[in-house]
Amino acid sequence: MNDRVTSSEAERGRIEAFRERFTAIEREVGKVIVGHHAVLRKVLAAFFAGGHVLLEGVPGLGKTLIVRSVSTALGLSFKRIQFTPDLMPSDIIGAQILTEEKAEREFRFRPGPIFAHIVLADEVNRASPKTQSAVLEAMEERQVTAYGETYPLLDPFFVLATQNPIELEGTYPLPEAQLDRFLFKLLVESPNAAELNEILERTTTEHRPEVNVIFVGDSGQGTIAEMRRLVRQVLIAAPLQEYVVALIAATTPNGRGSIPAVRTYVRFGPGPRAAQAVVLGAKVNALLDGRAHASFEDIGDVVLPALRHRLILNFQAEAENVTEDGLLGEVLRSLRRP
Amino acid sequence: MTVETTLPYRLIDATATRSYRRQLGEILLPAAPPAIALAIALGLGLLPIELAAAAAIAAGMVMLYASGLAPSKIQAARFLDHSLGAKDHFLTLATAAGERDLLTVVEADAAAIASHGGSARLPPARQRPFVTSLLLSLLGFALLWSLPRLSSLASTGGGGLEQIAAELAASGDDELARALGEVSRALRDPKLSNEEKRAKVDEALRKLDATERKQAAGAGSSGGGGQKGDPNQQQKKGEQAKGRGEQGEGSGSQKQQAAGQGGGSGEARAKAKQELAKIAGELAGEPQKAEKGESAKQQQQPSGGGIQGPESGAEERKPGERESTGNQPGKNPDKPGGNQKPGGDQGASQAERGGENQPDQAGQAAKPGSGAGAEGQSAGQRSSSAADAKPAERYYKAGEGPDGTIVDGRYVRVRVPEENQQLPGSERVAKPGDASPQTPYGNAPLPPPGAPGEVGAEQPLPLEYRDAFKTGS
Repeated sequence: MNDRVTSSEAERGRIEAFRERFTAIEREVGKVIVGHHAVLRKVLAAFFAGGHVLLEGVPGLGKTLIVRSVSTALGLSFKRIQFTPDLMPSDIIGAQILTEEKAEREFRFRPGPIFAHIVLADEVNRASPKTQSAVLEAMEERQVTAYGETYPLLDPFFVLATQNPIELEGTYPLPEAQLDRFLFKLLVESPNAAELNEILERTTTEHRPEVNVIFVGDSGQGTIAEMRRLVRQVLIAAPLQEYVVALIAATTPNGRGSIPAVRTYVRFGPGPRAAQAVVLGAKVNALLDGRAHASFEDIGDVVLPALRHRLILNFQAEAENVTEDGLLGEVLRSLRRP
Repeated sequence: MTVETTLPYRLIDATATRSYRRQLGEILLPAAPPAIALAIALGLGLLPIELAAAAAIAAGMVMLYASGLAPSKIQAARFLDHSLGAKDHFLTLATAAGERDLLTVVEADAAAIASHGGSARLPPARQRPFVTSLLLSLLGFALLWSLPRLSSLASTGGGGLEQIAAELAASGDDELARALGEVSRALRDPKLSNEEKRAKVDEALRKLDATERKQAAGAGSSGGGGQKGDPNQQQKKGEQAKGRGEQGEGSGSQKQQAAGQGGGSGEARAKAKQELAKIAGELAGEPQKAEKGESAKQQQQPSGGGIQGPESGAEERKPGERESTGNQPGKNPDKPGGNQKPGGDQGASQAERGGENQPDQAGQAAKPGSGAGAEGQSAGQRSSSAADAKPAERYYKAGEGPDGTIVDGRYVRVRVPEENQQLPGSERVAKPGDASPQTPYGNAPLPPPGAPGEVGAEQPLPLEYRDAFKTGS
């Protein structure tokens, strides 16, 4: 019995450490980012859950700054790719170039910007589908294939993509397959008056806050890997898992228990990756709450960011101004907990 | 702390057991009183064995359902989480499988919550089971109270007897009403054997006959002045009416005149007699006998018919319904006495019976509402002479003649085409530029006689009607 108590104390220590580190990153990033606490928390949650994040918001809200600050705090390599219509896959993945060494010429693979721990795909919907699809394999398989050769990406690998929802001209909306690869889709809202005031204070004076690195060197990467492992160790009760399954089914038009609104407005529902995203997000939430198990509250907190980009609405929904968030809220209200 | 790590599990088990007992009680409590009531009724012999079997099956179903219940740890854990303010700690523990790294943390957290929150009590018992139990008990007793009555009614038709008894009582036939009431009670009594019930029914039938005889005798001595009561006159009338198509109306109106109080009680007696005969047949347990009862019912029509009310009279005077009147030649003029419809039987049976049941023809005919009997009788008397008589054409529909002939019919003789022969014009399709396509004359309306384009007496028949004609022929 004493062993159990000792074990309990040790595990609790791991959970507390997770919380402290997570909070430290939030605090550091919070030095340069005003507001967006929920967005920042979800970005970090996705990072420790091992997923990628799609940030959607109008220009100038600090999306790029969030990503840059997070990468600095995590002490990881960071690359930014500005997606444009003429961007080619080789611009992302890399290309073979002819090199000359000791009077011998040979083609060598020169890695592209995708070979970084944190990649910011800025305005991802401006690139052509051909280029967008080049990122697909990287996001899911954590490897890229160029000229018949496969190259593994760095670990951890985290893609943060941004897109502008108001500009449609000259853009290529992300295909469903690519959207599904993002763990969360987060909406970056405009700051309120107090936050805007604070932004002015920080950016128009001499005082320039700097983000300190929380995880330094290889030990830092080991800590990140340990934190990611802990997320997956969090317990989730079978009824909660069944609840997630029922939730996915309820948001699918032909799924069991789908509500009439879903059947009317949804063209395609979320897939298995959506369920994985909900469970992993709930587990991170549980750790942040100091628990070793997920709860219904944790699940409810991540349903919107995990599912909103996986619901493909039909034309009728668009015509009637039905949103994904509205539908998901309705589903959550109608779904009975086991 | 060391002891407390097992506390959440014990708490979940205890709560699950308590919850299970509560559920079991809520299911069995409402079922217990009716079950006890049924058992008592069965013990006292108030319950037929079929119903006892049904009750046993119902009880078995309840027990089967109850046996399917099992203590649900998940429900108990959910209840504990809710009542102790935990965030699904107990639910996780209740469903956790195997040894996990972080399970000890959950155990410790749940133990801390349980020790601080105290023992969780189950929510108060619902009031519904008690109310349901009460209602079910009352329903059960009401069912037991009415079942013997219902079952005897269903098996013997005693309900009809009570109604007839009430009718008889209303028309002043108290003695018969009492007798029928006794029969009805005897039929409902599960202790009486079928033989005893049958004896009661026979006794009632005897009483009924005696009353009818008595009343017939009384009517014969006191009545006889009715216009309709004179059989000779009736026969004469019938003969006069024959060939004019007025017979139905004449007899019907006379019967309407004859309707009265006597008619009402007579009808009730007739019904009683039918019902008793039917019950006697059923009690005998012989289908043939029951059938006989039915035929007796029909044969009793004459006496009943003799005192029939206006309804039957009205029925018989429907114009065109020659088959339902007894004083007409009948459907088949070759058969003496007309057809076998009640009127004909009536007459025939009256004739056969002779003076046995009808001591005084005049007296019987003088009974109010005895028109149909008299008519039947007269038809019976006329039956032999009517056999050779010319069929009364007035009873045929317009255009219908005897032996299936057609009177005053107008028809066109058509030529049925050969099987494979295509008639010119019957399937002709207009071609482009065909200014006035010729209408297939087989489908065109016939022009009036004398008009231009009049068609001849022989017309080709369109192919599509060929089968119809063949079938018709």
